[in-house]
Amino acid sequence: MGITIPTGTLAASTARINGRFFAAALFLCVTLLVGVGAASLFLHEALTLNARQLLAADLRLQATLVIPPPGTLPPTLSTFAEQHIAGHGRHLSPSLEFRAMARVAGSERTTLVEVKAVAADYPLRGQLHLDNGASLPAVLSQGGVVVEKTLLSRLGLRVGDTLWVGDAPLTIAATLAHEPDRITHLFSLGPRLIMALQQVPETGLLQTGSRVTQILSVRLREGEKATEVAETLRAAATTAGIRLITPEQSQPSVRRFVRRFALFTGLTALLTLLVGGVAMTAAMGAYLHDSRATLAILKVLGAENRQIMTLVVGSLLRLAWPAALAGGISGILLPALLPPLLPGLFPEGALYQPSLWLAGAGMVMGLLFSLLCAIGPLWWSRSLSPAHLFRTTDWREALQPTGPGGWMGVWALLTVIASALGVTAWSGEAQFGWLFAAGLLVLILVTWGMARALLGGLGRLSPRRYYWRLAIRTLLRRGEPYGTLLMALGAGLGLVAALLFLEDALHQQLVSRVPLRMPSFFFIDIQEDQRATFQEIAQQYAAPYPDAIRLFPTVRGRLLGGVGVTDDPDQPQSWRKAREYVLTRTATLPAGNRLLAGNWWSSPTAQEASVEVEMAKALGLGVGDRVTFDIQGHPVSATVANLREVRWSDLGINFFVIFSPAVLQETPGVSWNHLASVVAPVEQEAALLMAMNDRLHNVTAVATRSVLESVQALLQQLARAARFLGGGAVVAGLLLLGVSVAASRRRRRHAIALYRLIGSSRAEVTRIVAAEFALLGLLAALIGVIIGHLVTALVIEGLLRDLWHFNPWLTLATFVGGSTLLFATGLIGSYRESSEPVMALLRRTGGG
Amino acid sequence: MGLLGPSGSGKSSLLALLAGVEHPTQGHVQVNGVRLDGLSADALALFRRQHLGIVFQDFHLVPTLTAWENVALPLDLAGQPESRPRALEMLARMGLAPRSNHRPGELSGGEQQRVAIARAFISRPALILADEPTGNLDQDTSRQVIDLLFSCAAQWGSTLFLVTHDPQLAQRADRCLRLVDGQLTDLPAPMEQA
Repeated sequence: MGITIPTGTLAASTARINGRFFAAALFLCVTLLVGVGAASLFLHEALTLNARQLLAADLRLQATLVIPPPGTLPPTLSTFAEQHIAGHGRHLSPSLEFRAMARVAGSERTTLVEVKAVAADYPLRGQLHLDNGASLPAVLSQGGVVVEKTLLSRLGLRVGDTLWVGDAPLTIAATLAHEPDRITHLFSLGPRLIMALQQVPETGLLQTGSRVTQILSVRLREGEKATEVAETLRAAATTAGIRLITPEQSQPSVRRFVRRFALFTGLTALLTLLVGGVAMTAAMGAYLHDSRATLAILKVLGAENRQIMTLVVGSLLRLAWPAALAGGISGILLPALLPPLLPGLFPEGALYQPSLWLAGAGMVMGLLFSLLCAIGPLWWSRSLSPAHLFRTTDWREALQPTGPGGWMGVWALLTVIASALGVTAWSGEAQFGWLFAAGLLVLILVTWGMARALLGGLGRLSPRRYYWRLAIRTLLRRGEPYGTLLMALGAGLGLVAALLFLEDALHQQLVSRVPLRMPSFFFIDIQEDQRATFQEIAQQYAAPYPDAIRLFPTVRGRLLGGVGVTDDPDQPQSWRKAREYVLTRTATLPAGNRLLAGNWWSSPTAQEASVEVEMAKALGLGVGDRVTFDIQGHPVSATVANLREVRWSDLGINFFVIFSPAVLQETPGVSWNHLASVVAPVEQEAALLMAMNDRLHNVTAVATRSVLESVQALLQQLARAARFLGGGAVVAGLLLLGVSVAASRRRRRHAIALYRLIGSSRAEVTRIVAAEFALLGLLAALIGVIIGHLVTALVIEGLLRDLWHFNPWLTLATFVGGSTLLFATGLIGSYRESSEPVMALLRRTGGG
Repeated sequence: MGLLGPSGSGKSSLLALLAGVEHPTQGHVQVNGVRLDGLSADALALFRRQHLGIVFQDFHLVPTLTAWENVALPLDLAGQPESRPRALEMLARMGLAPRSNHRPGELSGGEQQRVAIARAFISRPALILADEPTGNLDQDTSRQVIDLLFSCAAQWGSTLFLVTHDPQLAQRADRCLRLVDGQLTDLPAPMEQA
């Protein structure tokens, strides 16, 4: 049986207006959802573009092996490259890194250098700068080499002089000003020397048994994504003992930021969707509320529930599709605003290409979500009894859903399930999704509890002023939507507040906490007997900042094993086992570190270790396990006393493993040296370097400021991007809440008409309405602020594993702003009703 | 059939029970040979669509639809063809042909009630429930509406169940009942009273 009820049947004038609110909420919701998604993708592309300059490639393959014949690439990496990477429009550039002694002919001066032998096309991404402005390929093709300035001062050489590496005399053609991928190799043992790959055989250094790091830099085909390519190669690379590095992994602070940024944008989209859900449900509820008489008439005329459903869903889709389409289109246009706002992140002329696919997906999602939001009110319409049409008095008031608030529960449950599925799909982790859903359910229950408690408390009040009394009675009246509205507004405002608090926390974490100045140099290989001299020189030149000089005793060691450390070479953590760790020992927890499990040293004599939490996770280590390192030929064991979180955004010296002071105390023959960072005023840097070279010849200085500042600049740009996205989401969230209030206050029209009919003046009606919305705004803002902090604390402590801080000013601003917005929206919206002629108002409220 | 009774005596409840929109707490309801208690909501809707027409005191027209669309609604719900010409024909029978494209808000009370009567009779139901159909109308219009109701019921052979406060109006029915304190009693037929 086909249904041919006219499609405009439900569009009564009041319902039509609420339909507009619904459409506005959906438009905002889809705009923001698509906008955040598209902006996030666009930003990620820009970030990858920036980050790959830190890697000098799109993808880097690295294997530290003992290799045979000198010359070309050792077989392992070249074979792997031929089998798995070559072709497909990709460009490969091999290079080698090894340590060698550099010496000056006819002199006893020697020093260890970190040699990097590169092909003519190095770097594949980013720029390498030489102090004399020459180009690297030109220098290398003429047989010259490039060195760090430290090397010159250490060996007493100048540009143009010759030094020897192995059997090869090499002419120093220039000094290095900026090496793009220096960040991947900060903890080096000596100054950098860059030479041409084809010159390596002349040195005669790569004999059988030599230790060399082979590197294969890859420039991917246009459109290829490094993370995706890396994923396809990972299993084979792990088996072959090759480490894959994507741009995001090139530096811990960048890697962590990317993760947090993705988490933040994802949460922004989800929270917006939930606020949108609150607004759409409120608007849909009001729409159906205004259509209830029509639905009752249809029922009494013999319409089956299926026909009612078809009619309602048809009307809903008719309202929804233009809004969803417009939202999708405006959403994909939003990221076009980013390049002018974040010029540092986007290169000049960066072209944003809107994704129609994303707009389409956002539109479909918006339509599905609006259907989800309508399920509750639709369920309510099933239980709507037309019997009241036979009552000639006040039948409109009587046409209430059976079990008030019941649909809210159904909707809440559906939202929780849908959110869990959404988060699961987004994060790819089912556990995370269900945790999110559980958190959301708790949140709904807390909101419900708080709304009930506040309304209960309100019921005990009996103010003298009539308008406050009337306002309280209205809020408490059975059948009025205010209880549900209070809960919805409280939850909605809570989610908006959470966005605000989260963005503030992210900003604090990324921008405010980084040091005022990046370390100018890292100094490596300071011997125990040089410590005093080093400190004397450093204090002379260091900037007057706390922690301007940081000094740690270090040894190098390889992980031999431990409880929970598997020996399976196929496991992805195998590179963690193969790598060389820089280890330290300290009596106190270093700044920027936080204990997550266990305790700091149990006693001064304890043989204990503190392990960075992500490393512990990857290796399956827990508190109480034992780890063993090969340190200068000695197996050294320690019990894991605690797991530690490291604030990598500090961009300072941090360690994966820290020993207690007693470790290695008794081991003979193990010598410690020191690693230090010094922040110096820019104009003092050259003098500091010279003084160090003069008095501590063997100490290697790595100029870190420019590299770390570029990382910091990148993080700051992204923090600004997060602020932009978060700010946009907050504004849209507030607009959505405004829609919720506007939709609901239309239900007050009948009451306003009655007040006017019994002789209330416009001012008196305004006072009553103002009192209602003042109470509603204050209560909802109170719930919102509490919910906001609860969500923020859960996300920061639970997901970001950071410390949650209470920001009183932001809390106060959110409370005042939220309550004022709700109050103003309600009052302004009711202005028309309080000034309209009474009969016209009554006629409109009677329209069904 | 006419039903008289004071306010609060249960007249509307009885109509709601007959329409199958309320369920009896005791006993059962049988209309036109069909027991209503125990039927599902959709089965009751189908029953109303096939057997009942209802005229309310407040008219209860869908405000967004035109007069002819309101009248055609029961046919549309039943998926019957030719709903528009049949609705227009019915409106012409009510003397409302020139007003067929007007919405309820543009019609007078009497006109709205005539549209409601047309909607009630469009499916030729066996039973018409009329709940104080003249309660909101003036005397002249009331008379016209009642004449129309009786003539339509006679023309299409429908039983008219008329709830009213007006004893004179009730006496136009073949059988007259009084409902007081939930007790239904037969009133003497007009001839007997005479």
